[in-house]
Amino acid sequence: MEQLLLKRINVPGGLDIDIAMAHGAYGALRISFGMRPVDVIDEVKRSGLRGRGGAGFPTGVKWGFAAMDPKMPKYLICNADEGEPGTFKDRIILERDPHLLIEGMIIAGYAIGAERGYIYLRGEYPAAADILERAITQAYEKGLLGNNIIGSGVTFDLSLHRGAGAYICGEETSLIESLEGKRGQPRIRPPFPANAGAWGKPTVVNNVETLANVPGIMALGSEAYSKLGVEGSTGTKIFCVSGAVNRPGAYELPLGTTLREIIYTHAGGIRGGGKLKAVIPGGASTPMLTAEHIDVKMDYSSLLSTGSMLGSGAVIVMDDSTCMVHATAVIIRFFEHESCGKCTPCREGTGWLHQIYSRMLRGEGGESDIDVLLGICRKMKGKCFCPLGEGAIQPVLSSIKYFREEYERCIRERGCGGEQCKGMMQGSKHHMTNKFQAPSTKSQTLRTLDF
Amino acid sequence: MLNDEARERIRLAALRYPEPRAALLPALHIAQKEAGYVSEDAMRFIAGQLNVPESEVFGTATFYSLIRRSSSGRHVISICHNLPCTLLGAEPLIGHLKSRLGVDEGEVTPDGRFSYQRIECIGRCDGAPAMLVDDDYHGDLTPEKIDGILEKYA
Amino acid sequence: MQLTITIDGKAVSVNPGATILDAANSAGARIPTLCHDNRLHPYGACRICMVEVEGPPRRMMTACTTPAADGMIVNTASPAVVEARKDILELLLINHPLDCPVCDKAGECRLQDLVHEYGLGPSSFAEEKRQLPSDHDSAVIERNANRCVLCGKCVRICKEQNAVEELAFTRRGGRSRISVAFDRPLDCEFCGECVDICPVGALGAKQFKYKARVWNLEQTPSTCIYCGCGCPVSLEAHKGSVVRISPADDNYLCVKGRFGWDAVHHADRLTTPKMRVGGELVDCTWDEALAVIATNLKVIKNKRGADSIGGLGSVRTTNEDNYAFQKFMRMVIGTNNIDLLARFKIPRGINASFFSGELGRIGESDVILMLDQDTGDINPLTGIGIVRAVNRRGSKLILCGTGRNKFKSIASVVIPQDTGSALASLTAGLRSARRIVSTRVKQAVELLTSAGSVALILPPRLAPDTFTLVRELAGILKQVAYYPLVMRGNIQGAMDMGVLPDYFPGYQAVSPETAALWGKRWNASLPEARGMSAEEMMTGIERGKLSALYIMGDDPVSSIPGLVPILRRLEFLVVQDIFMTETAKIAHVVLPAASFLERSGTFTNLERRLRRISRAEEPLGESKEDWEIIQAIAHKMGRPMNYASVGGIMSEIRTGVPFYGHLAVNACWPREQSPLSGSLADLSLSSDSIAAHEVITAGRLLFSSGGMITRSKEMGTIGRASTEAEV
Ligand SMILES: Cc1cc2nc3c(=O)[nH]c(=O)nc-3n(C[C@H](O)[C@H](O)[C@H](O)COP(=O)(O)O)c2cc1C
Ligand code: SF4
Ligand code: FES
Repeated sequence: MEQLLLKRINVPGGLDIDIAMAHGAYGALRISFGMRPVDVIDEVKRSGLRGRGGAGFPTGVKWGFAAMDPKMPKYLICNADEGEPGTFKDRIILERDPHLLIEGMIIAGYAIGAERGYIYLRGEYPAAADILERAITQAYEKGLLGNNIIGSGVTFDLSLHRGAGAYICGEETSLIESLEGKRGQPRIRPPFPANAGAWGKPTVVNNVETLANVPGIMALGSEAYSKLGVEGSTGTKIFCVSGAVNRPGAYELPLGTTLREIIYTHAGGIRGGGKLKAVIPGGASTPMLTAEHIDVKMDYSSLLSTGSMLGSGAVIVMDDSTCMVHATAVIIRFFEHESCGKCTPCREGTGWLHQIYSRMLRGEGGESDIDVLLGICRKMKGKCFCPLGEGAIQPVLSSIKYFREEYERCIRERGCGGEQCKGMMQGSKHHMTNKFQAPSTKSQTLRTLDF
Repeated sequence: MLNDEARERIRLAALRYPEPRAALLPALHIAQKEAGYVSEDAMRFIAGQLNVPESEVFGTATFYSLIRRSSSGRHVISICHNLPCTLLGAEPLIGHLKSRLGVDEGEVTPDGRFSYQRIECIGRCDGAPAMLVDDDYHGDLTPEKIDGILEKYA
Repeated sequence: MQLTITIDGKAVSVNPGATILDAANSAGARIPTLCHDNRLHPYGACRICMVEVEGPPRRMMTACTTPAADGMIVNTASPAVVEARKDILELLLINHPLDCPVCDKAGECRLQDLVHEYGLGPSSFAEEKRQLPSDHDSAVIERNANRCVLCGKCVRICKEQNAVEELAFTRRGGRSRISVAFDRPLDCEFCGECVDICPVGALGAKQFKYKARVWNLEQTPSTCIYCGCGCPVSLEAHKGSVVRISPADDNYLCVKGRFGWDAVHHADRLTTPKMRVGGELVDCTWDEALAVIATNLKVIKNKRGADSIGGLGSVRTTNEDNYAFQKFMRMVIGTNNIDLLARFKIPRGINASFFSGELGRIGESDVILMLDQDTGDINPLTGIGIVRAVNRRGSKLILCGTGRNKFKSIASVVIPQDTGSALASLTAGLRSARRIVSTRVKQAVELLTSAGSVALILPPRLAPDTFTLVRELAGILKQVAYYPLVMRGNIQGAMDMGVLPDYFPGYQAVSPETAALWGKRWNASLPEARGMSAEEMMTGIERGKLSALYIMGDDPVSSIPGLVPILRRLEFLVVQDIFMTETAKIAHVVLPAASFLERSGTFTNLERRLRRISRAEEPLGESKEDWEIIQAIAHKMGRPMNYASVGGIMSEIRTGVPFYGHLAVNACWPREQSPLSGSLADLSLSSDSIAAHEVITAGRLLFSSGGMITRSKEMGTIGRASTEAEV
């Protein structure tokens, strides 16, 4: 099977630039420098590459926007914030083949006319930070970064920028704010980053995996590349499988591979011989699917037609021992924690959802809670400032859609009293009362509220 | 207060960006590395050095969950409680960790060695349940494994 | 190219760059907003302004952030829109305390109004509300975080309009809140703009707390008199007593204007006339006081001549008061010994109407050169104008100064030198690039040379050599606009009114011809030679040349050291003021004047803009408006003035002072119309000018402003209110 992204991850000593180069790293650089920047962009357009960060926007088109904007300087930012729960594909590249990314960035920088690049790396990846720092230093030493790269006259400087724990900084405009030293809150669009991004200058933000595809495209040629995968979803994709499977891990497979093949062939099937109950196909913000969707093709459009999304390609597998109320509660706790707090629906909605889930797990669910949950989702839907809030309601809606009777049982039986649920409640309480928060007082425990 | 080396590193960090303010997160990391947390004094210093209002430094520092504003143990354990880890038993493990350390989240053990915090997905779902001790990753955790790991940090 | 967009079926055309909200405004459709304010950059956080944009696909967009596109069809009130707004309101209310009965914002709370308008039903929210600590420790302002809807207007106005950045969003998500650094109490300019802009009761003025329900307030449009900016205000009274002063419309008010007015309710207020009997000041009737004044002034005039009597006008009173006062001195007493204490030891000519234009036009200059680092403290509104120019119009700011300064954050170049040295290096640099030593000066010179127009922000006082440098600099630059700062309230108006020893009203220099002209108007024979300046009067007392002094609305003793023994030599001292000032304490007769809340008239600000002052309270006790008192004395002295109202004085001013002839309220009189007009270079320093007099000040100028501010309880809580000498 064609391996474009993970081909070098098992090369012994492959972090070292010499060994990586011996295995082909930076080979596509010369090819690219031999072409005009517009031709590189065209090549990427023709390859059909779509962003792997979640939104699936055609990469070449995005580059074209930034390349056409006359403002200078331009910036290229690699989105290595990888915060979508269940996703670890970028980490594998960063920790095991950083030169693939650096090569992709140099080519992208050349194509769009950016002489400065930043890798925005999530704070939770300290090992990757060290590895990247070293790889960048080595690339400078080899003349692959800096001025006049390998005698081509091309300049590209690259720095690592570490985040500090905020999922929202994966969203590209928040990422830019964060890079500029601010709170990671999304910006109004338009203007789009391609025209006014970092420091108001044309900026391309691309996911690690997206950029890691670029050397492969340039080496193979767009023609060959676009034969991988399926119509509209070309190339390979790293699927991160986690949860109740025998062999959790990252698998590079052509887009369009079925969920069944991913789970049963590559990830070794359900752990402990259990039954598949639910799957989150693209990371925590994509709607859940059930066992009946097992034959869905994992590509952009097939997943849309099931009502879900490819997202980051993080496949979280739940077996029949999973409490779906609890599983959803965990995701909601995540979104409540990660909402940036800027817009009303997301800030208030995720908090409210979280309060209800917590109460249900404590065994204090009420009959109307399911309707209230659905109501909150409806109130949030289509009104949030950025996709975080819109994503937060997906697990709620989909789990109620497929597993409503579990919610009803949870309410009826006053919680299941399971280890996990109890644990989470302890944890979650703690989580909620962070130390800046004043303890709630008696007078505030308003149970009903009439406006 | 920050030592000279930290100050110098902040100054150098600022050079990597078109505007010095961009070095705010790097500066917070540098300050945290030095003291285990970011003190008010450190924030004031950073504000002055990067020409950012104190309110903004404070507002930015408090936005990010990895920036600590009170002292931590010599080693900080960040244990993941997101869905993939929870599916494989994160909650009981956190319970175990808590009783082993005998302190609540955010508190420092009496010997000053550890503090722990729950953390959202650390991208080690292939090794769930997982945690970070300082910058080291530990996966496929079991209660016994956690005990063994704790031994290794003085 | 104009865009056409349809709002609720009505086509409107708008400029490119306009938002749906802008378009709706011009179409007359009302879209509710919470986080939007025209003074601020769009933010798009509250989501209440959602409208429906027809598709395909039909979608909900925030009107405040979405650019209007040609052919766009928008519904602002469809059922889906109404439902969306209700949803947002419900979400806002889940954590909002419903404590409207004890919230001072009730009645002008946007949230309350919207909930009322959209008629929300019962909510399904049954959880606990968020609980955050409140701030009761800050001076002047109280913060109730639980009521906050996180619209961020306070944070943004503090930054985008004021360049203070005291407030910031802190923490994240549902734990987000607005804080000061490290959660400490406020330590800012205390302008209170955040209180005003807050759509809910999260920020409140302590001064107004539990004072009145806003729907019971009576509004009187008026003007703040603290500094030369003369900001338009609304005096808000409850049961005949002012309880709050708010900026008129979207105008700005600084801490003094907003909170300092409570001084007028201070116990030091004079309520009855007093005269000295056996060494003591004792209460007396108006008749007694007026009789004593009339007799004494007549006796002294007869004995030693009219020129042994002097008068000091006031920058705290109206144009009409000052006009009446100089008329009294010239016509009734017969002397030109009249001046403003505010001009004590100030180079003649400076400050006289050479402010180049309207404050709002500072932004039309490409480069702003700020030569006084206290700009924001001396004339806060001028400071705001500069911040706006930089933040909204992209003007470049060059800042000279060494101190801590909020403008540093928005300046393109900071030259860490005092005014004189900075001017010297800039002029030298402009003359010859080879003489530039510092990179900052180099950057500044580059900005100045490439600028099509430059605004110069000048200190209120210029030492003669600095003045020469300013002229030199102005000579080199292409197009220069001058913005000299004006410390004291109505100094412009008082000078326009001729409270000057050498000018009749309207800057008509004292001469036999002008004396004849004005004499004819007033039906009197007037003195033809210039009188004594404030400074000459003081030395005149020492030399026995001045025997009586009439001070209207000023307090020299508190501002000029060592004056008490000098003033004690006077045979007769009359002080007319609102407070029992240090000067009043040594007077022979003290007359109670009405405060600016209790009177009417006009005020001319540093832009030469005519502002109206209106009465919102009855004069306290037996106090009277200054002109009424002056007129009564004139009457007693046998030269009645016969004004039926302040309006009568204004009509006379309009006939005598050409540039007030057709001057409408809120308009600026054109600089060219003043005989003193012309650029700064036309103004010459007269020989008796002395270098700037040291100001006695023990704190930030912003928190001090002489007798008024020191008597403000609110300002006192800021803890740094200082006793600044009025010089
Ligand atoms: C809440 C949120 C979180 C996101 N997190 C990430 C992320 O961690 N990594 C990433 O590459 N893209 C993330 N994205 C998508 C980015 O906004 C952006 O689309 C992407 O970086 C573009 O790169 P691509 O075109 O190469 O995919 C996120 C988007 C949202 C709305
Ligand atoms: S305090 Fe008022 S102005 Fe500030 S964010 Fe809260 S609601 Fe908005
Ligand atoms: S007014 Fe438009 S989002 Fe707040």
